[in-house]
Amino acid sequence: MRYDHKIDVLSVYGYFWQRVWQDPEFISALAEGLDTLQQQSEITYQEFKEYMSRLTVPVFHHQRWKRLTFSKEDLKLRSYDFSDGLQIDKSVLIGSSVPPIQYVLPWVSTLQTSFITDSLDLETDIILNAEQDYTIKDNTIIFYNDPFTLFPLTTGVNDNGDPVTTIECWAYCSEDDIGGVTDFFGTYVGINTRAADIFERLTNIVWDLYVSGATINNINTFLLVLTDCDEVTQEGTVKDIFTEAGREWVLTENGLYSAPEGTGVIVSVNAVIYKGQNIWDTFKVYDGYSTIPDTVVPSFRVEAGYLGGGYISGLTFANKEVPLDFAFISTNPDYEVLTTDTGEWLIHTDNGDDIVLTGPDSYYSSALQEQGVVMVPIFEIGGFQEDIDKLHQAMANNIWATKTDVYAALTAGQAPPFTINPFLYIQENALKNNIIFININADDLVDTKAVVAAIRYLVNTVPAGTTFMLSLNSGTLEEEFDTQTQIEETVTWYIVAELEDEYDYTNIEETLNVNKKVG
Amino acid sequence: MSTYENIDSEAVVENEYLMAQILESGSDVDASLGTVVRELAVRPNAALAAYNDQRLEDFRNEMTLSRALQNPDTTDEAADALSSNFRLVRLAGTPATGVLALYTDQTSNVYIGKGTTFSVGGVTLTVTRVYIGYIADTPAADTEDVVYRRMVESANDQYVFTIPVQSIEATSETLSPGMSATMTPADSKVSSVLVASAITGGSAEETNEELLARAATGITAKVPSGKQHIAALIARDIPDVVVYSSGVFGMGDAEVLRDRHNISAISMGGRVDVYARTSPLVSQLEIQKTAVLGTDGRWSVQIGATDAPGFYGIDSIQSVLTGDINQTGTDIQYTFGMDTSDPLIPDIPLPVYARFSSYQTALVTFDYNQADAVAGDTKDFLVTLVYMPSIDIIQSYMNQRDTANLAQDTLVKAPIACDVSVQAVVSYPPGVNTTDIEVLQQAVAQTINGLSIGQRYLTADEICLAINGVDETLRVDFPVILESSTFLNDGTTAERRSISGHLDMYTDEDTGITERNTCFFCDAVNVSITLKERVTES
Repeated sequence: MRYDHKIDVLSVYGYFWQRVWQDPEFISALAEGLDTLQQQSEITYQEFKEYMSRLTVPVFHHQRWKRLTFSKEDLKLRSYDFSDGLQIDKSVLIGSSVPPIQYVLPWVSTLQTSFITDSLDLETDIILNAEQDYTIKDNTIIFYNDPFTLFPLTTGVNDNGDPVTTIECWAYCSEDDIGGVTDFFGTYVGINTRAADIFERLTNIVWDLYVSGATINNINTFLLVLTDCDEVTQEGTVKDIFTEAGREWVLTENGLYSAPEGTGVIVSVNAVIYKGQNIWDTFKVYDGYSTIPDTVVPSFRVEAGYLGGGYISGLTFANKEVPLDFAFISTNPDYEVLTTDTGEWLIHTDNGDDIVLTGPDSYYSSALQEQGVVMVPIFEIGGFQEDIDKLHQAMANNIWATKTDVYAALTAGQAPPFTINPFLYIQENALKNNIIFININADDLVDTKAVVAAIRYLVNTVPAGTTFMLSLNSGTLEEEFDTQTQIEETVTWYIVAELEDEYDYTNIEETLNVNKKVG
Repeated sequence: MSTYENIDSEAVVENEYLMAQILESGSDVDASLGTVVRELAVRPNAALAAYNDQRLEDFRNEMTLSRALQNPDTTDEAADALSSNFRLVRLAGTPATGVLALYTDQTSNVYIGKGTTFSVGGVTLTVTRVYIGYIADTPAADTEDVVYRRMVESANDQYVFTIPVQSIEATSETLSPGMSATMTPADSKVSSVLVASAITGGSAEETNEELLARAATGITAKVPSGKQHIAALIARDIPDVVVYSSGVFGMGDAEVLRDRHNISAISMGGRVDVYARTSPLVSQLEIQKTAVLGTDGRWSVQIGATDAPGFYGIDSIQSVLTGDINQTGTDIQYTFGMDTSDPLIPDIPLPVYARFSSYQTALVTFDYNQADAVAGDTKDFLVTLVYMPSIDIIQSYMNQRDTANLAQDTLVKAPIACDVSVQAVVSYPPGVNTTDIEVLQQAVAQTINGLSIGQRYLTADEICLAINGVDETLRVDFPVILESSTFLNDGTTAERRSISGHLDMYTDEDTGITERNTCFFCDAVNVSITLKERVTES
């Protein structure tokens, strides 16, 4: 406890003051007063000891009693209507309820307190409770009743020397943001923000990312912090799952874990959960060997940075089975590829011979391949046709080696259709284990922009030879992201889209590294 | 630091009210203002408690790196002690290096003794060896202490030879070519001394502010893993190398061309390209090369990987014997290759991917008129290369077995260089002209050279800020003309010009050139400032 540093000052006063002095109440009260001051110093001292470690650094400076004075000349009244939240100074419509009046006074924005009293005696009748009797919002405190009728009036002097009516009251167990987390640890990793428990957790995990890298556990912890979900700290059996006070809760015999209300719990009662396990459905981490369902990634788009030079734009690969066909093309001007009336391939060679091909049969010889006649795969890819052709051609060299069953079937004279999952093919043959794919359910996030902005810490700490992909799933999200300031340039966005959408020059909006369909 | 006299009066009052109320509520005593109890018992204790709290606060601030480094009362000793917890050691600074040109009207040898100093723009330079300028054809061989430099004919019956110099003190100053130097002790044989190639690449002792900015680097693991880690690894830990800024690129980044050179033509990962700016200004290096005349009538020289690792291009080629200069951009052509002799070389499938790296080589061809020369003849030339120093040292460091990752290779490159020139008209208040144009030129160049890798564009704002940093009364008239020349992979340059006050970087993702791996450079001699008197004060 912060406030239990009781020091018995009276005990050190000695025999005379304790036994001989005839006004023990005065001595006792004096001792209590000194004790109260000393207690505060002790609280501060204990806090400062905790600054020595980023694991214990206090988020707030605690003050047992803080004197508050308000001047009546600072008092502002305001009202709000019921239609759409707070509407400062909005006139009341005829027929609507008479709105409550709010009493607004200036406040130190870094200070929070749960109780305001009229005296240091907690038995007093006047104890105001936060959110019930008042709300602190940035640099104002909003009372729901006139504080100048609650607390004794006194007369003070304003900055001009004029007398003003004031009230004096006391904040009990106040918390002041004096920049502990930021000054001691946050600022070094670029976290400079107002104090909140979540930022202490964020600061710590970013330090971990910097110091020990993007380990599996560090990535998991980072995402849990970003999504304000608790991390499982001990193995245990789930005893209960419930919703309370705006949070989802999972109770085990040795732990209690929570997440914002609405977050799905992916474990059930009696399940055994282990340390570090993600028990929430807010996010999921995949690597290149993971099976990424089409419900998470119906398709994804790779930008030009992923492709060799000469591409007009990026390409989109569907995460579903699509028909796989083939075609012959020639990169040699002396070898012309034609088609016959019956749909067969006719290779017109440099010496005037014509070779008819139906597939990779014996006529599709290595000699023919050496002359630049290439058997390219044909399957659905989203993008500009020139880019699609270019990639199909680039893939010709290895696709038949990996699709041996298809090649064997073609050689045996079987006709298409065959199928291929374009996304899976790229995943298995190019991306492999070099990707970290994170899917976040954006609807569960309290502050989507802050989460996206903080993702840069992962981008900069995952191995540079890998790639980082982020997908925000949302049914309702409508956010605008400024790629200049909110997203590190290095974040590569994969736009989840239905491949059936048609893209052309007229409905693609190209920004720095984001292409999206706009019409 | 807090003393009893300067404690926070508000804290004293708050304590006083707190104690007075406890006294009054717990006893019958009157502790209101002016009473004996208030004055003798309450206030002194309230003040003492406030003092103690303030001392605690002082202690907290003294123990906080971020606050201590911003507090002028913090001693260097205390700052260094705190910094050590972040694995930070204050950088002592490094000297700047460059080349001076010495002019003489003598045809006999000119001797420059070891320790001779040259004063330029407030910076004192020196030589660490004895240099002997000569005209005779066959000098004695160089030794460890004595170096011979051939003098070539210059204008006005003068001869010139160059010597490498370094600043005596650590400095972050950049001295531009053409600046005049004063030699001590003076030598009657030396008629003038000018800066031949920029004196640059040094750094001053690290300030508290700089130390604080480096805290994240200090705590970051120095391993070739994440982009943050690699940047921290090369930032300060490599002996004798200062990395001013860097860009790290990996899988899926357009800058890593070699990552997409495979059968699927899609980025495969496992390869990282690091672009490191090791000097505020690109450096020049003059090397002597023997050229061969080809059957096509063009001369050719081979630039090796170690000559000027990762060099951008050639500034000039000069005949050793006659001093004739062949300026770049006219007929110099490059065929870039790469040196694969390093057993630890990263995966570089094509020479173009080795461009600006320490594995880069080049066959350079150029025209030089010599009537009696026939194919196969050889001739010595002084080739002046433009390059970024220490790229090879960083590459070598990254290749070490106790640095490199097994499954990820790292190729270190000089950042794409975007050479900037500026033209501006600057007005001064009526009747007041104390402006030194050279100071303004240096200020503008320093501002541009201070920009890190990754700037998307340069604006006239930076020029205005630089000029007003020298003299707030000066005004920059628009338009400010900004021009840039970017070194490209094929040895040519891309030119851009802007009169709108906004100059975008040249970018071409297909060749791996983006604003993220490019940085602006500016030589002060390329800052043209015209001064004029204003009609009005403002």
